[in-house]
Amino acid sequence: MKNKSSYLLAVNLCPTLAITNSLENSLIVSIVITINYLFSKGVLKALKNFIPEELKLISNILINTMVITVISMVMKGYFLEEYRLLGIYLPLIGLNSIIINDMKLFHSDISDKLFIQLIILAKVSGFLLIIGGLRELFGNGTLFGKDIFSCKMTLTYIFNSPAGALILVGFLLALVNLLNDKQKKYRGEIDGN
Amino acid sequence: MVIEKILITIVTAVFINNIIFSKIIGLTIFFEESKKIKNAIYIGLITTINLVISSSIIWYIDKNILKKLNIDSLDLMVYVIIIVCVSYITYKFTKNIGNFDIRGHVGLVVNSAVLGVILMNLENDLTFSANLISSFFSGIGYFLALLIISGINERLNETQVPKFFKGEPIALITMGIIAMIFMGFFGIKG
Repeated sequence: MKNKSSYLLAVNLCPTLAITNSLENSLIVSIVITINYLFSKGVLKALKNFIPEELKLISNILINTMVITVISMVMKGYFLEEYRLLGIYLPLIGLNSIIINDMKLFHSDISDKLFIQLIILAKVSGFLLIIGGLRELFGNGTLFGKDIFSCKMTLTYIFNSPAGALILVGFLLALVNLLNDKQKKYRGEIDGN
Repeated sequence: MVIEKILITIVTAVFINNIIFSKIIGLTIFFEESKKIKNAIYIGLITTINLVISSSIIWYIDKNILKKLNIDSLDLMVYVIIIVCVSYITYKFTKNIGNFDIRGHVGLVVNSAVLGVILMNLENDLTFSANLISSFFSGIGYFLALLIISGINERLNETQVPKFFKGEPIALITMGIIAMIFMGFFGIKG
């Protein structure tokens, strides 16, 4: 695997792109992802000794759906507006967090430690916030619903749609690759001296 | 009138509500597999078969069991169990055609495109035949989209891409440009 970080980010960001067209939405999505990961990881860790190796994937899927069911019930009861906004994407986001939970199933050369998973989770949430902010700023000219540019953004309206989101994520991932490369070179110089 | 309705359903499923380009669901498997046309054909066909079988089973269970017994809140778990079972059985039957390792298997079992289409169809409250047609042609739309993307990626491998754009970034940018083309279909909603 050549670019682990950009691959992981791409896999985890893609299912959320259709709804994260404002900063508020991406904040909600990242909170849901974090809660889902923490609870399902906790249940999985607790039941670790009772699950045989062959049933690992199935039990992982079932525990994730269970947690998502509970989250959707809570959201239906207390946060109805947010629940309607997420719509069909809430179960899909939940299903996608299997990839963070059990990365060894998908890529045998990515290490499966808790610390690394938490770092990836933080990276994904941070990226969600950046994407949401940029899309709202350039697509609508607002941030958290407040006017910033005080004019209609007809030229860059594409950022509101999924197409603009895909292009934006592509450029952001290229930036991540560039920064990783710079960091590696810097470290190499320090080690060389 | 009936033919008109069927045509509207088909166009909506394949172009207007295309799973990949207008909903961005089910891209995970695309990053898992190597981006070749042969793999794309296999994945697209398997997903279409899974979609048709599991959506008809889920439609029946949702209408006749879950709503009658008033256990709507457990619907998601029931759907996921049925989808996993169906995809596992179809994988077992077609294993020899694709020659995939365990990674492909994992990606196929938890393919979120199937769940996404089923949830969309249930939200629209369709009849059985409309549900069948819609899910079949959504699968065809997924198949088409995967073919387009993998064809472009095979060509991209032979060209010189800037160093930092190699791999996922350039794939996402090309996908975005194709998604812009698909945005043109939004206007023809019947």
